[in-house]
Amino acid sequence: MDNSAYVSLSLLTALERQLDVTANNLANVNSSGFKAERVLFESYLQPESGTAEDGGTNYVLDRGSYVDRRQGALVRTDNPLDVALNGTGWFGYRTAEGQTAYGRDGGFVLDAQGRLVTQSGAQVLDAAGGPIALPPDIGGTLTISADGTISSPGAGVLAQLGAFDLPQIQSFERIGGGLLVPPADQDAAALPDAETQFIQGSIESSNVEAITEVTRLVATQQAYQRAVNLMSSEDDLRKDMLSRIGRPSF
Amino acid sequence: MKALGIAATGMMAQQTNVDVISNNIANANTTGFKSSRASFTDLIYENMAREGALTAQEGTTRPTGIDVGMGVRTAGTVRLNTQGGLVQTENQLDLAVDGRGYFAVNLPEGGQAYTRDGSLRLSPEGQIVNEQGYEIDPGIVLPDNTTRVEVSETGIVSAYVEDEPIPVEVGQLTLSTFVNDAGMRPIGNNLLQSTVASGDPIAAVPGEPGVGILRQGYLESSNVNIISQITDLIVAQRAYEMNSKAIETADQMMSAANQIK
Repeated sequence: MDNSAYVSLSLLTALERQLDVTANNLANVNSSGFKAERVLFESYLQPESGTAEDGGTNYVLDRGSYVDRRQGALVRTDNPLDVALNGTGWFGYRTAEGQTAYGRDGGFVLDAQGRLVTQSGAQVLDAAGGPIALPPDIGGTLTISADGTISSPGAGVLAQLGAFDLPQIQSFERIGGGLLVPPADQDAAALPDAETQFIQGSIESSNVEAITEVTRLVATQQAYQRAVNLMSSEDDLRKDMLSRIGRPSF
Repeated sequence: MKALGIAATGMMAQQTNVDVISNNIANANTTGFKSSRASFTDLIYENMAREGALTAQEGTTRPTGIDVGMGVRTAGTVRLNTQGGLVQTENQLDLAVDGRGYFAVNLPEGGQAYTRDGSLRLSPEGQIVNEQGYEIDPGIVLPDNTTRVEVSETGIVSAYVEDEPIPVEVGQLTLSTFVNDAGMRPIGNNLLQSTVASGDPIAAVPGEPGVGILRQGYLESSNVNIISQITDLIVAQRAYEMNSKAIETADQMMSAANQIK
């Protein structure tokens, strides 16, 4: 049996994955701090199936997906609890389940206990990795400086926001809510990132590039159509072959 | 093909976005109104291949997994509690809060609500009420024959009665503050209610540290920035179109798959 149908099939499966990831990127075009996802494909060479000396059949393999780490645009919101990161660092969070997670979404709110939390309810961690709680009476008067120090005119320095350096972010698992968690076996002792600046009153918008994604949609669709065409021509060939072989030759 | 469902979550999110923006624009002239912003976050992910899983017998591990996101959800709408502009009205019962704090009003069905709308009125009994006729808490009753009312920056209400040159102090207005203003629930009519997320109200005298002062003869206008709202509206429309493009693409790919014989 020919391999061509299966080669096309491996491409079709990969392109569907590509479409799903592109659709997810586009759906999150307005999610603050969202980092676009990219898929990685590679060819898998099956040497046994080759007939030529250097031959073999290449299939498309779905290898993995990775986080596009580029900075998103900063959007001014004037909300004193909105913080954008300028640099490569990540915010640290503690989820409701007690997991330590990382992300770039700086749209913070205070909960009823005065703790700084994300809108999904994950607690924001300070530079030392502990949760941040603010006294109840400071309200809108707090200022956050470029190094993350939270202070208010009356109460002085209250806490310091943490920015963490995560060179191994590609191995992290996305759990939604803008959060990435380190793999279970990796006890990520995240180091503080001193380079990253905090910008109060702004939010980092999603780094999804709409034009690129829409272009990718078009390219994905065209490649899909090509793979389908390849399958039909292979099918036509086989049909032709069968009808010729079956015909008496006199 | 998950893309159809994923793109649908994107379109729904942009609809919510447009709903919130249009409510802001509709309330651009509402006294004491605070604009909201819808905030979005990614939905759950399907982990098709785990990071760190073994890929070969030699013990090499997969450096990246395959995470396919399932779209977007609305994380919440955040009310932006910045100060609105103060508009002079000359009306002696118009009060604007300059700084933090809300007037507390007693709801007729019991319980309290909070408002930044200081356009106050008098009930037939001389009681200070808000525009819906709900009493301001603490209750203040002006004496009969009051010719003029003075409200100090710290909330002391004094009434000038007939020809008396010396005013009578009739009460003290207080303001309520909350740990998390953004967690209050709007109930319409410029009123907000406290919730578990906002914390309990903390009553304070105007002018205390961290609490605003009162300005008599002014009203606080809404803090809606029309230019940024219109810009956000355009951004939302384009994002909606892009998601519908993703649906179109998924549809065409499925129809191509149907041609396979």
